[in-house]
Amino acid sequence: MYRPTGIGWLCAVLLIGSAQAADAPRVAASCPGPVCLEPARFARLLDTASTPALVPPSGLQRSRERADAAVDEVRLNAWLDQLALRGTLAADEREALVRLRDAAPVIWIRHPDHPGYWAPAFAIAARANALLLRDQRLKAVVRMLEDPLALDDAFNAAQSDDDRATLIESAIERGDAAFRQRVDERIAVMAPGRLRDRLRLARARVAPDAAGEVAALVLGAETGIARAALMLAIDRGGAVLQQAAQAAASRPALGGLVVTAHRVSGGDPEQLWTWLESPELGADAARALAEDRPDLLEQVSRRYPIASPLARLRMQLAVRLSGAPDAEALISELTGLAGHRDGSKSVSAAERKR
Amino acid sequence: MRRRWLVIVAGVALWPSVICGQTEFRYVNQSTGPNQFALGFPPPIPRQSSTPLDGFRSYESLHARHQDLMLQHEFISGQVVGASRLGAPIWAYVIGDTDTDTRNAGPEPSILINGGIHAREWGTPELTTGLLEAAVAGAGDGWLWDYLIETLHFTVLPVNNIDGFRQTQRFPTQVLVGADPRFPDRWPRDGRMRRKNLRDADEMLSTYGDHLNGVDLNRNFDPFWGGDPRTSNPIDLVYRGPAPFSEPESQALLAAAELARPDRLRWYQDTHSFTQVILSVNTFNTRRNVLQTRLATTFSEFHNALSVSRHGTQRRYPNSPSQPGSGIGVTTEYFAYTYEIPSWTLEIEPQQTAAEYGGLGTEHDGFILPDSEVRRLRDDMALTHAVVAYQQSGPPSVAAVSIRDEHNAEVYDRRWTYTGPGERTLVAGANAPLVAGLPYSLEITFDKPMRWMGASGATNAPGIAVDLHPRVRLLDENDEVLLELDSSTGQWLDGSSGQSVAQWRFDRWRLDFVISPDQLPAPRGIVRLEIQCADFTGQALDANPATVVDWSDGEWSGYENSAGVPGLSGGADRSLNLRVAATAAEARRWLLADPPEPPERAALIPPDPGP
Repeated sequence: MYRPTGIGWLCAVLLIGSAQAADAPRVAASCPGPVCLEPARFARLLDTASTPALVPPSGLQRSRERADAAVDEVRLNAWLDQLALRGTLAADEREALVRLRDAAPVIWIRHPDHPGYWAPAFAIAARANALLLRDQRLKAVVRMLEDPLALDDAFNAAQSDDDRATLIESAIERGDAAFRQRVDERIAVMAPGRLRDRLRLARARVAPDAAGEVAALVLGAETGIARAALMLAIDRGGAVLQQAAQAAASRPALGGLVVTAHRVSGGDPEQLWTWLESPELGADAARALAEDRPDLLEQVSRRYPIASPLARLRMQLAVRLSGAPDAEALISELTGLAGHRDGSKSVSAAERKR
Repeated sequence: MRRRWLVIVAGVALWPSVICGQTEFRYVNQSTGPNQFALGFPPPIPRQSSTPLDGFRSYESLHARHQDLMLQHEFISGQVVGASRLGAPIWAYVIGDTDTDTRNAGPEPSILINGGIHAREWGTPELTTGLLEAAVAGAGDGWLWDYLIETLHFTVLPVNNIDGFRQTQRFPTQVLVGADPRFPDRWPRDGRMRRKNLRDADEMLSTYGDHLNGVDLNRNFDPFWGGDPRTSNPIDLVYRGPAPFSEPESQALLAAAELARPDRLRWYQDTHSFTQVILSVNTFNTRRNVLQTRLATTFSEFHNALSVSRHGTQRRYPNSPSQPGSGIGVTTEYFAYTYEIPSWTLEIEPQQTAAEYGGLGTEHDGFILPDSEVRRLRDDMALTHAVVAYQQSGPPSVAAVSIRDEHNAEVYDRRWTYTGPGERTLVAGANAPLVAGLPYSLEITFDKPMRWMGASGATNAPGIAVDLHPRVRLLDENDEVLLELDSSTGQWLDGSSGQSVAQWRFDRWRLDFVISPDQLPAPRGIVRLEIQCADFTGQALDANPATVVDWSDGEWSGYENSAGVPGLSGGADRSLNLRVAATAAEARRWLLADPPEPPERAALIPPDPGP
């Protein structure tokens, strides 16, 4: 049973009582909630009332008293903080959260960048909803882990692919080796497509050696999933990165991550010069050259005359990004357009169109 | 003995945090221990990729992207407008063609979008970068982006607070909790949650003495610098700095305004997160305030409908205007009062918390947009900004009217030509009488693309309902309606085969019509052509194209209504006259008699009465 301490009640009531007089908003009509607090008052209320341990879920009846409601809301928020740190919910907690899904904000505070705009101090309803959804998902995951039929259901469910993938991904993350083996068997017979690739990626995340699988995803999955696979490889390094970087090199549509993978995997620096004329990879290649090549200006001077128009632009970009003291002078020299406004428009539009 | 040494070493290591009462917390997906903020989704980590992805890019990648786009495209130029406190060059970029004039309305109008003034608001550099990327992707569309590139001087300062932004990216999951003067037990400061610049602060998280320092750049501006008393405390989250414009980043924004051609400015936005709201600045100029409200309404209604159509999710941005004469030192106040233009802070999503995306709603998680939401935000916002820029480029006007007979011979032709500051002249071409009972084709050309480009042609823009077709009527000399043409069979031309446009798709509308002898107006002869139409944001025509619409003293100038009176809402264009004959014989008689040119309506409209 929720029983605030006597001092807590006293402070809260005095606090809110005085807040009603002193915190009357300057734009009274725009204060949309029952309790509008200035920052100092709000801070004091937080100090006074943030005691989540005093809020067992059975005591979540919202008071009609403004003071009680404000204190309740602070404590509810602290209670939600605690729930967020845990996994599953007890039945009474779940019931309490269901009741909170429609909770209207009680305390409103001024927007820090616009004193006339009041915003809810807490997002009790949204948080309660999110916790319930997480709980629902966790329960489904637990069912999947314990019951192969539930896993089959998840694979065959009529939900959207993204919802199904999210559920099964969570199960993959939590499941043991046997469970993952069951998942693998189902993935193996799935039709190719986005859902299958997402699950393959989820499996790769928990597999100790997934170099081949990650590389395959980088090579063949839709760009969003392929990029995610490449990011996994970059984060993990080692053999996974080596293979993924190689695969990515043939897929410039994945963009700058391809260059990053190449760079951190210790790929051939000469490749960066080749990529300068790639629309998707050139800017990142230029940046890599700017950061990695101490002899950049010398190299650019040598390569510029024989480079394609786009590669020339990227060489200018590399020189510019290098921040070298004589960068602008070199660009002017290379382009023969010294004195141009900022040195950037040094190649004609016709030249740019390859 | 060894254990004692360990205790001493640990004590020394913890000493700074103990004396300052600060604890390092980390943002994590799910909680696994103490001193964590559990987001419920993976904490975004900035990625090294200049090309866009599902997530956030590092500052260095974004900068490389801006520079690359600038180098590759004639219509993107850039300039260093200042340097950060730590010396990083601050760049601003302009989307627009290389000249300074529009084709038929004089000097180009200008807008300025600022991003990344608060370090932790990572969505905003992505949004501003998305504007440059959308312009590149849209260029050549023969429609909205080509119109903006030709007509506007669209300035973007993508990252204002570079030092702070880099600091947050250096520590993408780490923060310090425990010493904020207002909420010591709750508010995470520095690291991922740095807001201010790095004045009197270093780049290390382990030096506790300085991590509350820095200036809130969005409190560093006149005319209301110091308007909030809390801003005097140097360790407060909203410290205003020692003087107005004291910070180099603030100076850079002023320089960006110069790059944006301040005498041509019509809209300023400072881009922030979060709370999903437009915080606009009302001044004492009520007419400016009205136009600002309209612009904000377009932003919200369009963006919401776009989000519903693309993702099935409502995303309105309510407008909350300030009280005139009060302020707290934010940049938008400076631009509103200095330039008398619509000026607002855009607080991007979420409304309250990342729980709106399934997160757990932990402390300050509204500043942490999940990776999965970034692309959507970037793409949708770019289009919304393009639409708002389109509206603020100016109200539409009739550029030309021509009528052809069934043999495709031009029988009537009028064009408005820009002749000098604020003025256009009507150039008259063919002027034969129309004959009742004969088929004609009317083409009205406007000075901007007038309709949204849907999958099957011209349509309404999401969230903004206007009459799809212009309303065309013939009036007598007392402006009484003689007859209305059935415009429902009209067609917006999109430039495809046989559908010539003037400059952009949907800047021309065609209607085949016949004036039946029954409808023939009496008295026969000279009639006025009335054209009513709104652009796709709902702005009505400038009724008198002879005076070019411009922005002056916080409102439109030269924007006349149907009666020729300048104002805020425009009206029906009645500037052109026609002749209609009952029979071909009558028309021939008129031509043989060579009657004088019918007086054009423009000459009848009373002159601008002035302020």
